Amino acid sequence: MAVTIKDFDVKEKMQWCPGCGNFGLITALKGALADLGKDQSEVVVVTGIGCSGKTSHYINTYGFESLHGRTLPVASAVKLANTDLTVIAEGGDGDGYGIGIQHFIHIMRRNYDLTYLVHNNEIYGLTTGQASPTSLLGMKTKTTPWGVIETPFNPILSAINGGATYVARGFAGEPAHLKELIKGAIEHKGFSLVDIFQPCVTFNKLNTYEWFRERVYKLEDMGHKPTDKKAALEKAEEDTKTDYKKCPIGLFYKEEKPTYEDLLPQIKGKPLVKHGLKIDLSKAYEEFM
Amino acid sequence: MKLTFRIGAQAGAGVMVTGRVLGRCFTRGGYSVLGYPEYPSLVRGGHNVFQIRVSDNGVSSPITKCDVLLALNKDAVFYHKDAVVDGGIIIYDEKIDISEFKLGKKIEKVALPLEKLLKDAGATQRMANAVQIGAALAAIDYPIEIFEGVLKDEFGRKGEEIVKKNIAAARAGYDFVKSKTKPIKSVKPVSKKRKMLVGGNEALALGAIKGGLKFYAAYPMTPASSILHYLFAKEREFNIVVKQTEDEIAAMHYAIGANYTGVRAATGTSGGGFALMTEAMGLAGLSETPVTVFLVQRVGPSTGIPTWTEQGDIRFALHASQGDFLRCVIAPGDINECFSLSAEALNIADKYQIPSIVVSDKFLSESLFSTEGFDENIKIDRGKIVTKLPKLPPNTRFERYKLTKDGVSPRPLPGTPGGLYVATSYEHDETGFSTESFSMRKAQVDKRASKQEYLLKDIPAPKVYGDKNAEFTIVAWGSMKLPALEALHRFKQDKISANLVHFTYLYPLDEKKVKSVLGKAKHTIMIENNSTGQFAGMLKQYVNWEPDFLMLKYTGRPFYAEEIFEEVSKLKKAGFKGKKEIRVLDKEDLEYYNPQRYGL
Repeated sequence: MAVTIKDFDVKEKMQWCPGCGNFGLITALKGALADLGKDQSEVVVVTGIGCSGKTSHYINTYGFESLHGRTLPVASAVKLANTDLTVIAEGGDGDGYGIGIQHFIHIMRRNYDLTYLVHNNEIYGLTTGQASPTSLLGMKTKTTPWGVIETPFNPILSAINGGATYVARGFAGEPAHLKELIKGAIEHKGFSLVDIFQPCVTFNKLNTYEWFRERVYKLEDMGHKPTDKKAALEKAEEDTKTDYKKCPIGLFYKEEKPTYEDLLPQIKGKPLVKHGLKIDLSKAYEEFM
Repeated sequence: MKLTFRIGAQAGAGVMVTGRVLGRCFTRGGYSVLGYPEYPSLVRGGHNVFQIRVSDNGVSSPITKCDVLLALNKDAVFYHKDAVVDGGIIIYDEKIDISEFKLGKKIEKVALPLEKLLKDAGATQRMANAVQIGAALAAIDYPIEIFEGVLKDEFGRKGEEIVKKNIAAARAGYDFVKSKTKPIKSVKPVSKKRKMLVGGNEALALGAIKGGLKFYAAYPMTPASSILHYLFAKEREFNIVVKQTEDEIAAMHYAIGANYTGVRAATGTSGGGFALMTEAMGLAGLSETPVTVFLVQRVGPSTGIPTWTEQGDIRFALHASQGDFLRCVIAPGDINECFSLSAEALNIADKYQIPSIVVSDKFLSESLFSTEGFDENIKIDRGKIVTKLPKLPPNTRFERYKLTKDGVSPRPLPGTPGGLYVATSYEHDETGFSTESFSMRKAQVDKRASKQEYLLKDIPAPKVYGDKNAEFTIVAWGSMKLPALEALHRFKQDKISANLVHFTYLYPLDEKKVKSVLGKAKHTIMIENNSTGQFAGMLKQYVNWEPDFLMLKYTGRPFYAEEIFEEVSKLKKAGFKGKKEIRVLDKEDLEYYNPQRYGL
């Protein structure tokens, strides 16, 4: 029997604030998995800590809710241990671009075949409203009472420069569009980033649904070619360069490259988890004699 | 027969390789060998020394004296001249001016024309160590053919020409020393049966591979790095995935993620790296994900003295991470235990779904030891992994954290139909869903803690070595078994009745088992390579036992057997009365980091 979006639901109530961008986001993710006909037991959703972290609880697949910022190392190992699995890593902007940024920088060099969804709400939500690495200049928060004075981190620009092979941005207010981006990311062979504008209705009074709706437009509508790196880099800076008058969403950049797993002959054709454990060490011993 | 070599040179001159090859010449002759390196935290400069002890009767600890000093530079003569025994020999490059040193009259001195010997043999500068080893073997009249065999095996892949040149270089050194002086001893092979010469970290890695290790993630850190190097070298041969990560935080999370997915996985580091892993220790504890950490101690706190040894991190291993949760701390005491306990640590992690920590130290991990072979009788026990499960009702999860009598719950691996669950760092209900229910919180804490009772059944009592009814007992854990055993040997020679109680399983501790052994001891002297007696404190806390004397050394060196022998002999003379704490300082007070301090 074909898998449906309902199969990915759980009985427990999703406890995010009413109107939270996470609702649209999780609907898009479940829809993408259902559209791709993914078997629930073959999917692992790895999350960090923060409101985004709850996603692994609210989707009926295998899940791992790790520590704050540590989504990517756990997800990387899941993939290396069993290349048959579909691995989705999810974290927030604080989780992935703040405390866990080192993992983000390095995973792009490695090009594991996994998908990273960032719930980017430009604020720390679960800790009740501090500035995040993507909070816009001048934004007032509990930790920036006089306004943000640090340049916001640009994940799209960093991802293209960093070696990510699928770089997209979605908007939780457009779940149908987001679903297609996530599908593309899962189907892409290599490391895919989907950074998602995900309005925090409680703590971010600046970047609201309305704020985004006035600014977002779809790259594909403007004829953007995702294989054009130069154009992708220009588009990655359009929001800051236009002082956020224009915030493109869609697929910025895509490139085919061997994955890290492809380059490991010991797991070619056979996932690590399926290898036998009986080992004959006699040849290894000879080297010590 | 007991014989000690020292090879000294500046860092980067290759004394480790020379030492290893020289050691192999003797394990091939059936001898017991210990290779002990000392080096400062420098890539060039400073001073490196490698001690090789050879014996036909077991050898386990470095000592302060040597019979043969192979001095590859002037510093080596300066540092080790006083260590050479009367009747010993110093072999040095003729370019070194030794006239400024006062050398013992009863010590033979041979100036080696290294450059000329190499040239005459048609060998290159890179083959200098073959000349030196040949020279050292001549000094004790050991058959050069054994060394030639080592060279053939070592360089065979590089072609006949290289082998030939190396052998010529070895012969040149050998013949030169033979022509200049009479050997100080005549040493012949004792057996045709070769032993292995293995580094502590290599044994940990081999044991893990035999124990089913499939994944290893680590960030380089002395003295744990050679586990990573060995596993990398072997990853394709044994189908292991080895990952060098961006930091130790990542390494630990990789190990946890791989274990969650179902492969046996571990990470390894030293104290500073383990500090970065502490948060994830708790993640493994709460999510009940098996994980094994190799914690190879060095001198702390902080960067400390990074290339020297200490047993200062077991309290840290025991308490790393917030909250209460069970872990198992194991400390192998010799090369064979490195192998078997490494595999056992993987079993314990899997069987009880807890973190297990294998505690070693620089001394055990970076020294070389001979062994007749490892005990391969290892039964891999994957615990309660479930592979076949009935279909789950729609939108429900498997009870991964089901409350069970032994505290261990069935564990499906991702990919298993019917096993959907979420592993989480939050307190959770039986399906893994987060909960703040008071009763469920208590039930889950109690469930996890109840594993201890069962784990303790698997843990043996500390081992006793020596006379059962000894007059006094030395108590040690981990690598301090080695000098303690050699001290026992000294006591035995003097017909003094002594024994050793040695701990490999440090936590959890079973009061009955521990007391069944220690309760019989008359006078007890505990030795620890740290400054506070960390394990003595644990014994007091967990099994309510205290030693009569606590002997501590924390200079960066392990205890030497001589030090234990002398200090315990003093206690014995005093009728085992006196100050409880004894702090030991090395007699030889020279530092290798700053040779310039001595005008070198």
